[in-house]
Amino acid sequence: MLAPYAPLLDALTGLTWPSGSRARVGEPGAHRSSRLGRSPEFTEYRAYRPGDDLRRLDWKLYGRTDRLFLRIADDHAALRTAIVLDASASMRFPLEGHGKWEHACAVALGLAAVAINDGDAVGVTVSAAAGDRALAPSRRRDMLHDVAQLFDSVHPVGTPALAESVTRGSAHPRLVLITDFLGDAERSLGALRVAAASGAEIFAVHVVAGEELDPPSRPFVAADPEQVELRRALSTGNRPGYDAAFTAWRAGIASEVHAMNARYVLTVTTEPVRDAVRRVVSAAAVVDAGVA
Amino acid sequence: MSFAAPLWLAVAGVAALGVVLAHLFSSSTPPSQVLPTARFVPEAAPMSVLRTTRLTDLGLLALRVLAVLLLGLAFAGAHVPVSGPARVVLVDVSRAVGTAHADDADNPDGTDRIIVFDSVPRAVERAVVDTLKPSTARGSLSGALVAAHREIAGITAGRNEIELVIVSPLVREEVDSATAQLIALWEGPVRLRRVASATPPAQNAFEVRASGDDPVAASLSSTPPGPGPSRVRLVRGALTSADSMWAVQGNVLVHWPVSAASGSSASSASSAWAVATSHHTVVGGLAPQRERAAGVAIARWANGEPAATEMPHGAGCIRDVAISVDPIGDVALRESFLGLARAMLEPCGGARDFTAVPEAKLLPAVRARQASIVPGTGSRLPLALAMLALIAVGIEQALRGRTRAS
Repeated sequence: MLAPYAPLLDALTGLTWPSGSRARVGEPGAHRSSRLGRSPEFTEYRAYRPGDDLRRLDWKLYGRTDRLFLRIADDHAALRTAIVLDASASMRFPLEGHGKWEHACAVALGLAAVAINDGDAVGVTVSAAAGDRALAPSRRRDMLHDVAQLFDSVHPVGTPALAESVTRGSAHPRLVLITDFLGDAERSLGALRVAAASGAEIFAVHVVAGEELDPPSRPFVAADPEQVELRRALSTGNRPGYDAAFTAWRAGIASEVHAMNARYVLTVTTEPVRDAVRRVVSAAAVVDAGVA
Repeated sequence: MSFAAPLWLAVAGVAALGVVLAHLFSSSTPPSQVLPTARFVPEAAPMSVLRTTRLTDLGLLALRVLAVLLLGLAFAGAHVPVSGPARVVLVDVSRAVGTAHADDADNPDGTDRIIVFDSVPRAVERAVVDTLKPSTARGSLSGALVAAHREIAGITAGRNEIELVIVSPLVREEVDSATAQLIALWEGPVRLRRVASATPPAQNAFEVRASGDDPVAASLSSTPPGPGPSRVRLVRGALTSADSMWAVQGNVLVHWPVSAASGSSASSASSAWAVATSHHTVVGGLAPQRERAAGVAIARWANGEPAATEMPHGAGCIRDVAISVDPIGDVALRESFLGLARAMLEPCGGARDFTAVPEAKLLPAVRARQASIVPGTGSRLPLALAMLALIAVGIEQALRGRTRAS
């Protein structure tokens, strides 16, 4: 199952996915915890306040200064990551070759591999029309095999309830939504907004097909796979209008995501998957540096 | 090329222009293709009609225009003009003609059509006319006129300049109720050239060979025989070879045998029968006698079966009368029966009526134009054009189906 992804996984070896903020207290991991702990890595002293843990008092300093100080050190925690993948009919485009669905699966698998390499537990949810197909969070290496198997068993069809899937994934500190936003974008963004407000680190990976950015120049009737009644003729005459509307819509989506202090990454199917994964994790790092 | 209804050409031209405009301002529905971002295509874009600035589907356009124009030509009655003769001459050679007058059939340039007629019209060459002699058949001017109309049926140019010349004595027996109307339908000038009619034969003297109190002989006894030698012999018994030879010499032999069953049986069956000639009808007192001989019917029973026939025999003829007369009763004394019996004594070919018909009756001063006879083109060109149009439509259908499939 993993054979097709082997080159991608090789290319992502050594890549880390640092958290953009302090992780909440949890299992030990690579990310700085929001709570200062007792790790050997010293950070600072703080004057004792009644109620502090007496075991954290620095008795040697008390002996020299006759004052009580607590030895403070950064704690490190793991960041449970939820990856939600949109399996709507619109993701199955183009019908032949490397489409949005294949691209999204590869990006999701790459991000899962990076997260597991960081020691984070990764849970994967495929939002399908028949219901969610989910894998519980795990940091096991063979989790990637299960993820690939899950992706292989799903065929994008219909219009799934993506917003509900996002809501269920918002319990995780880090949430990655991979979609084309061509379903119920408003509800999906609303769910993301709620997740961001709850403190989760949000990544919105917007998948766009090259054929959507540059449709065939010959006239044809464009049929929406999710709305059967939606059929509109596209020709050179109204092509500029299409380009403008599509561009404005993408900008609107990016603006919405940015407004909720989340990360927005647009990836086109023509882009190498490893580059897309690098941009996702590096976007986190940049934001993280800005915050620091 | 000429056209019987040129208006159809204009109609076809307008239709062809419409076809061209249709190809200029519309095109077929573009193919459908999945595009998830179809919602961003402006809604104002038309679905199935895309305006074009140049002609599309030139092959289909050519076939459609061709089909429309061919149909227009077909409906317009396109034909190649065919010129006709200067004259059509009808020469009467029936029994009514007394003196041959072939000078009206002279044809210096050889373009005239000459039709000789008695009871049957036939086209002949000028040289043949001089050799023809009046026949013994009754003439039919209407039949000759129909033949003349057929002669120019395929002519489309100058029909109103073709002169019709009728060389005939124009006697009553040749004219019927359709004759004047057929002349009126002639588009060109009509000239009647009356020739002398034959002298009608005098009332034939006749003789009756019968035995005893024969009712037919009794009826004819009131008819005085004509002057001169006897030319009609009515035999109520068996014929002899001398009778046959007598008919061959140009006389009329009437064989009206007495039925073997005449008597009570004939009397009992007679009341249900009636027989008619062209001028007389006798009802009752008669019965079919036996199977008639072959020949031309000169009297018929009420059910249409021939009651008396005439067969040419040498220069004369033999009449076979199969009518059984009831010997009991007064049927033989009736005026109608006498007329029937006299009709059996008429010359071969029936009674002559050589009374001249006034030209004014045949040729009114103002001939009414009648459109019942359309200037027949006699050409199959419109039909061929229509067939070509259908073929073009078929090819267009096949080509359109292939275009859609592709």
